[in-house]
Amino acid sequence: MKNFKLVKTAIVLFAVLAFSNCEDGEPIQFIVVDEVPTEIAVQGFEGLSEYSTSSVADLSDLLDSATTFIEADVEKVTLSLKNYSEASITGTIKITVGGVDLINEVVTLSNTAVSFTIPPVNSDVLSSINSGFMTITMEGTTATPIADNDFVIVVTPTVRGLI
Amino acid sequence: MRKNITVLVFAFCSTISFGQIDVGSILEGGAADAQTFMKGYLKPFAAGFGNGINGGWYTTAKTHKLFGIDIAVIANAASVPTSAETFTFNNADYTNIELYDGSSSAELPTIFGSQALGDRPLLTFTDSGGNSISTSTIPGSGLKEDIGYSVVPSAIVQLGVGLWKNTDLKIRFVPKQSGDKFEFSAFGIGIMHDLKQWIPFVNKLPFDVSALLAWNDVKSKVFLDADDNPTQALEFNTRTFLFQILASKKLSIFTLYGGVGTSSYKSDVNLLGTFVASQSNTSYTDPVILDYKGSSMRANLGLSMKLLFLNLSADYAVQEYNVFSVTAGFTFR
Repeated sequence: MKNFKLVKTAIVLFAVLAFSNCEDGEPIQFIVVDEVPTEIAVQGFEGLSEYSTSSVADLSDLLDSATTFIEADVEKVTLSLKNYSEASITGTIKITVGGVDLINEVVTLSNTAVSFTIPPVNSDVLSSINSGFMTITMEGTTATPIADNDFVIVVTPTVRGLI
Repeated sequence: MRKNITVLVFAFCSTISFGQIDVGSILEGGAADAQTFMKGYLKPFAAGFGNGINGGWYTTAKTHKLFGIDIAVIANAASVPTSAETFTFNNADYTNIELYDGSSSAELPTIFGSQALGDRPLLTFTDSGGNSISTSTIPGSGLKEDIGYSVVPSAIVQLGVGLWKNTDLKIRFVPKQSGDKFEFSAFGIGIMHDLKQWIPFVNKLPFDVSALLAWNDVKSKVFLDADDNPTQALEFNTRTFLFQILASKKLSIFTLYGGVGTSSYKSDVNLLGTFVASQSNTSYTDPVILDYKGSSMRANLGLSMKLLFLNLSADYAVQEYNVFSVTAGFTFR
């Protein structure tokens, strides 16, 4: 009977050795890269050449990965136009996330997405991610007056987080 | 859906500690992809166990006298080779998973692989709606970091009985051990027969020679949700076969022994029961069925020590996964 107890102990030890890991010792780190598409409504600017608007990104998918991130940076931002009565808008656009200026560029927005790689020096959005809210603020000037009173600019930051 | 793709990776990790497994989320990535991934990830465990449990069958080539017996507890450690610490991930083998960096293939850690972030490429999981999320592949078990070696341990109890014509019958038996969350049983049988007695002149030489045929069957099952879904279980079964020609030489209280032959195993890892994917509500019955098999030449060398009835031994076997075995037991006649 003792032998069987020994075997049982060995099996338990085996299971512990072979199958324990995720919570013990050094924390295991994961990198998560997720796109956070955010539709920002641009309303009431028809005929004007400047606009300013903001929206809060939905971080629920990203925050399902972890409650606290060690690092979080925006790798890339993709922009596209939705429900605009004309084909495109050309002008400067400045996008700020949590006080960090991600983009300040001359761009032609259309239904086709245009991407910008964000340099590491101004990509840190850790405080926004860990707060659970990432407010995206957008300011723009246009070469020609805005032709629509209600349209959407889809801003899709690609967030790379370390958890 | 995207949330569940995220969870998929962590659920893979949770498969390592069965109690936390979220099968519904794993299946969200598709049963076929999960199966393909897990087959590569778990292979060294199945191979290591299959090689390891074949150790310790004998500590001498000399058979018992009639009705002589021995009983021993055997512990084996199969060494996982460095080459088995990673497996090759090919994008072409998957429907919903691909490497994030655009490569067509990469080496990912197996269950005995690295936990370091730099050794774990990002994988992109894409759902049927085209949404995707990328995350580092799951890490290894951390065993190497913890103890310095990657080994698959196994243990068994064995009884040997001397029969007629210098033949030993060897039995391995662990009766079904059942708990709320697991089942385990093992049975093995081996025959060792003295060859030297049949060979003229050789039968006069001062060492023993015999042949060993042995077979093992080890069954285990872990119930994932014993209270609410008693049919859901992770099953691991291994059958092994061993054939060796053995030789040994007794020197005072020591016996030097060794053998050459072949070792093989067939293992299966099955996820049994009916599972429902978290978001799509698709039902999968017995969604993951993995089978592994391998065979190799086997050569081992060992030393046993007999003190009255107590017999202690240690040997090392060179085979697909090299195995170090120790035994402790009693022997009579």
